[in-house]
Amino acid sequence: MIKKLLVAGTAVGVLAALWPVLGPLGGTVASPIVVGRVHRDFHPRDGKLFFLVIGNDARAGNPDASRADAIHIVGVNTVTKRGGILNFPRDSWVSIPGSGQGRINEALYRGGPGLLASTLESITGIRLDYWIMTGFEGFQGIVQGLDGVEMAVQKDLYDPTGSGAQIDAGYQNLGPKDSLAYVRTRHNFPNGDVDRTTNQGRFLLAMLKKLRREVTRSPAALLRWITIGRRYTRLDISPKETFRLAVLATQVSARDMGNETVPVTVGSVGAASVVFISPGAQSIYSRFRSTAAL
Amino acid sequence: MQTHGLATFCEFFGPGLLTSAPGPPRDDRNDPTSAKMSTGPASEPRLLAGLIGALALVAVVVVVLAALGSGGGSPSDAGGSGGEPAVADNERPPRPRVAAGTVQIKQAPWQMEIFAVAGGPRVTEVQRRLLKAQKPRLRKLVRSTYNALFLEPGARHRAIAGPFSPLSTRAWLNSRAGLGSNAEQVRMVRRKASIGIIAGRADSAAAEVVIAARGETGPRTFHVRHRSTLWLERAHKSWRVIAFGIDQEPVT
Repeated sequence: MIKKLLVAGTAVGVLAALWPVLGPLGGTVASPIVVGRVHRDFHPRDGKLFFLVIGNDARAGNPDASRADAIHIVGVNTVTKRGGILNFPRDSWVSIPGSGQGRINEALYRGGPGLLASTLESITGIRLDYWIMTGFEGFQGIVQGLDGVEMAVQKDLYDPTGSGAQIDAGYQNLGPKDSLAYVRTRHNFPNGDVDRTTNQGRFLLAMLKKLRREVTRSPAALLRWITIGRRYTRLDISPKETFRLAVLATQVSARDMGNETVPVTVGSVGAASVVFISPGAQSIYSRFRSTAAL
Repeated sequence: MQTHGLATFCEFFGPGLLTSAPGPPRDDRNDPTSAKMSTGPASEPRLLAGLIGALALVAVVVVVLAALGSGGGSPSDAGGSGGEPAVADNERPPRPRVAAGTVQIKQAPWQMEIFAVAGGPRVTEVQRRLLKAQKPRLRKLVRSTYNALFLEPGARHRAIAGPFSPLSTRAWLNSRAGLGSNAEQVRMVRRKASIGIIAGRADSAAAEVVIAARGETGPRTFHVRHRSTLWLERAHKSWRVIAFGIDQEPVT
């Protein structure tokens, strides 16, 4: 009897000791999707939520890389069930709080998601609620788990030396490799990184469409999405919040989500090729801030 | 009789969420390691805290088990033994309103399936027991809610006040789902529910409910088709509706 107690107690003790190491989910993906709150205190304003969505270039073999390749603010109005995706080209020349001027994607490298969020809040006047960041493996893992994402590809994409894209135009079911290539491709587009950023917003909308389609057929599909997501996600928010966010997503139609990229002009700073956000973006920020929709 | 199309509600800002985040926000400005996103080893202070916590936990477990003796009890939430519990009196559907002297209306039997949605290839024994404990609770919630909505529409507020949160209750009542209080001779010709529970913590579930009903309001007969989704959260032994979607329409 005492032997059994000792064995049980030791097993429990080992698990408890390892729990801080494993973390909330024990994921072993080199670049998981990470979700967290931007601010400690959560103060909803008239039912509006804003998410900072970041795609960084971390991957197996280079897990420490942390420049933001994709930067989007997703707004959702929980009352009107409308929303919007506001896209920021990664080479946008901005003021980074505490760090002077630089490309917006450097904020992530200099100070993590928190500094990138502060940068965007100071630019837009929008108080961000959550940040969601993914590297290559987390992104591909999710797409793999969902059996691909269907979307309309506007034109043939062929970029073997860059993103690796080899995708035909038309309605395609993009697997993990093609999905990553699609959101990374810029050389095939006349406006390069600006078009790439817009396409990333399109991809997010395609995922939303897929979610809604599957949940309409069977609400339990959302539970499957959540369990798949957990495999590739490190959550800094509670499971309850995760569930509610997921449920909220099912109630917003992609048709009611606008997708806009901030207007920019191409320029340079020294030898660096950058883009400058146009003054016209202020009206977009104002509209987005007041309605959480575009 | 109410007729309406689609209505949705999500209690995102309900109780439990208007609180601080679990931990302090990251101030990554001066921490060069903050850029790392891989799940690496914990820092030393975290490991030490974990070890101290583990020792304390072991001590507590040993004392408690010793006090209980060889018969350990199952966690209350993973209780339940044997097969499905018999239908208790309070689970029987309320009697439909019928005119005096007429025969009680026979309702279609409930077709209910409850299943687990698992993230991995297998569900552990502990998870299995936890899931099993939820089945009768969810079955009862769905039966009593929808039976009352369609068979006792005048008492709909009382019917949903238990399983629905206050915000959800208000939203559901505003949607006017179910039947009007003047509906009579109601027969639910189809009652079907499909409920999924996330395995693991078994604290999130989705229920899809389909009801087809007919009845009378005054001299007219009506047929209605109702499909709704309930999104449920569990706290201890109680399940609560925190969001829903309804699609209800008359059938001509």
